[in-house]
Amino acid sequence: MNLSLGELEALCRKAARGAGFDWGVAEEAGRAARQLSASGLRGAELLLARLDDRDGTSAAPLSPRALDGEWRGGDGPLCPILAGAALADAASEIDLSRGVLLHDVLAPLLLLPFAGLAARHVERPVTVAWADIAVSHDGSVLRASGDHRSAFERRVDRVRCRACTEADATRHPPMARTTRATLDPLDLSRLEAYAQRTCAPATEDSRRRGAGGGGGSEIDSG
Amino acid sequence: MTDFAKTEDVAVGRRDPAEVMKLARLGSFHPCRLSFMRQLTRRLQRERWTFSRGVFEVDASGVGHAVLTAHGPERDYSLVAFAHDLPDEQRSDRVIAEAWDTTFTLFDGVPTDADLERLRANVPLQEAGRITETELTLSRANRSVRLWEHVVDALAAGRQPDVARIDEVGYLMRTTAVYGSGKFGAADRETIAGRPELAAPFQVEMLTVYLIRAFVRDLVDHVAREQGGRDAVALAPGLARRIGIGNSTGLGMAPFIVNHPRLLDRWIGARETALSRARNVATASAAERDVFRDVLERAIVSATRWRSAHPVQHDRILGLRDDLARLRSHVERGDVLAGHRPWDALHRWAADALGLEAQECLVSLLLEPCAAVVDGLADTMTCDDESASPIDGRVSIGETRRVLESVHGWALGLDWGAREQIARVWYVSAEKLEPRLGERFEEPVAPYEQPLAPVRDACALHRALADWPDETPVARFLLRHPAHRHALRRVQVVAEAPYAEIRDNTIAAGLLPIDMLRAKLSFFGAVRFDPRSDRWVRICLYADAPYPEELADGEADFWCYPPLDEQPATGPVVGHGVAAPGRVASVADR
Repeated sequence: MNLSLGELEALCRKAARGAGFDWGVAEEAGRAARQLSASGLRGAELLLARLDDRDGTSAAPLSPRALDGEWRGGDGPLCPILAGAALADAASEIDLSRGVLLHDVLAPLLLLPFAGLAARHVERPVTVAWADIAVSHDGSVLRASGDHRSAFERRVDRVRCRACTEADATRHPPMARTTRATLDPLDLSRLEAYAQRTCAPATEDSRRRGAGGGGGSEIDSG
Repeated sequence: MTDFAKTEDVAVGRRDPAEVMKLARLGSFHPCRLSFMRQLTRRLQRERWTFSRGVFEVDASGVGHAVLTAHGPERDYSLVAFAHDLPDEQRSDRVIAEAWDTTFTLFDGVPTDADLERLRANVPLQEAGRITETELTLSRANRSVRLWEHVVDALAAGRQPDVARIDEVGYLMRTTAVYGSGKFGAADRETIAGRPELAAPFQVEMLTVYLIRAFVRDLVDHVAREQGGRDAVALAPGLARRIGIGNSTGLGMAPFIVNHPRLLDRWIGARETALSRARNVATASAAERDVFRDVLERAIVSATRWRSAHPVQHDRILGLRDDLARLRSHVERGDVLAGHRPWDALHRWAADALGLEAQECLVSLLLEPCAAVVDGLADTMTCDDESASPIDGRVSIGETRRVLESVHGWALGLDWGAREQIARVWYVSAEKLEPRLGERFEEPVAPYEQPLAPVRDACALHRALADWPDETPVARFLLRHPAHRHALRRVQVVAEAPYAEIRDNTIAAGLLPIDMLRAKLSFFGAVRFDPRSDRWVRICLYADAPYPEELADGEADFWCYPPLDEQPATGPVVGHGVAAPGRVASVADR
């Protein structure tokens, strides 16, 4: 299925909420999935895998316990959305020149959009690296070395996030941008199933009340 | 935080958001020079757009398709219309329906036959179909059965329809949705926002409705001609112009202005800047005073044509009529407009003398003579980075607290445990996928609550911050309290966008959602706001606007005020070339 990026973002936001993220974090998840998709990366599928990891577990993947040089989730793996948000929020506070080492991270590609936000704060590209893959984000452009397109790891032991020089970043070509996303129908339906959890089942009472009004809902885009 | 009083180097600043952003006032807004429909028609005329009908293949029963293309200086946009034969019992105003009288898409360019085949397989299905990046909107409309039949019967019999019946309804068809911005596979706004003709908000949606209106006029003429044969006449231009496109709008629109705080700030901020500029105009020329008197008279006519059976709106319209008469007497009394800062004087007078409905109507009216200082603000009404509002984790807790207290101070002392403060829940129904407003203490919907109560959430954030030291950056707080991330982002938005937040409780027992709808619809340029309940409204778009073939020489700007010569055109009818494909109108042809 070919989706507009707006559709993809809205779907991922709702799915993240449906899987139990707070609304403000779900907004980050939707934005991150969209931004990765805009660079041809499989943002929605990565998020879906994350939602599956999270779903039904009482010990949900975590935020870093502290914002020192090495981030750990404590009792479980780091959530890339929560850790990514912390990275962007604290970009000016932590020493990104030295970098931070994230231990035991789920779906580390999802950190990238947040590295882009961090890059805007520190006004330098920020690189997210693990194994032989390194992807830099300067706030608008993604550049990769290594086989990032097969980098669909669901869980990685060590991920380093570090500010780099413009010269370092621009050694690699920018990723091509796209305005559409293609989703496998099965992945789409599974994301929709998560999103559906945000919707209230109809009751006889709500039907009787006519809670929606009775009129349509129109010219509703923006 | 932006100091709204000092945004411009002028003596009279913008109004305080605490005054403007109350729902009672937002729910009294009227269309103005900056409304998106007027921005569109001014541009179409200024840039000498032309219009052509490439296809009009509709049979005697009104079933078929048509393509109506708008030719701009750089690009073409085509309304692709499908007309269906819908049994009466299937006609529904609900956004979730399965069949419509007509369905539409706005195609980016001129569609090929292959495009039309693809669209024919999808557009009539609406939400159940898929469109692509070459489509900009998806829409549908149903007939007003009583006016449609009256007009067809009259025209087929060689008569013009009754003007009173036209005015009573106002439209031959009403849309129940105009989707844009990537919905159902359409192009994302960001892929077209760089085009000058689409930079202003909602221009593809407004162009879609403008072209739908022309198609509907053509369709009613066509069906009447098929029925009446040689006896039939075409709808007289003067009558046709009175007819707009209706629109039913329900709760689905209300979340929009909460979910787009930066955009809301741009819209309201532009209008408030316009007002402050007008109020600072030192003197009004005779010509400018005439413009004001003219639009005031026409606004009075408009108010007499505005009807609503909704008790709240009914009383507001009566109040508006009285107040506009009072305003006219005031203006006629001597030198009101001849003095120093005449628009400021009028505005100040109105604050004490008129009700909210008329006060906000006057805001729109006094912008009319001030086009030179107002119209440029149209370029400030967009915001295409809404979803990319990153949180600045460096901001201190103390600063966050200060903004919260400045913006939401009025609400911090409310009892947020009291049932009447949190009586409502915004949610989306699984059955219809429509936004709904439920009763928190009577229905099991609270677990599904949408984040549409920003004031409550801001107050909760303020409480959660209570034990945190002023100097701590919010990044530290968010690490421990991700649940407040949504509210904290809004605090950072409103800190630099003063009109971003509604200063009312959107889940209170006494909430009137129609106030939220009205605020948005006024920016579209909608008139005859007619609430059918507290939760949905019918409105009219483009009534009195020139049709495409009239636009070059017509009134592209002030059409939204009805003409003062209210006599219907009953003379010999000049047809407007209905059936034959070819150019409908062209500046270049003249």
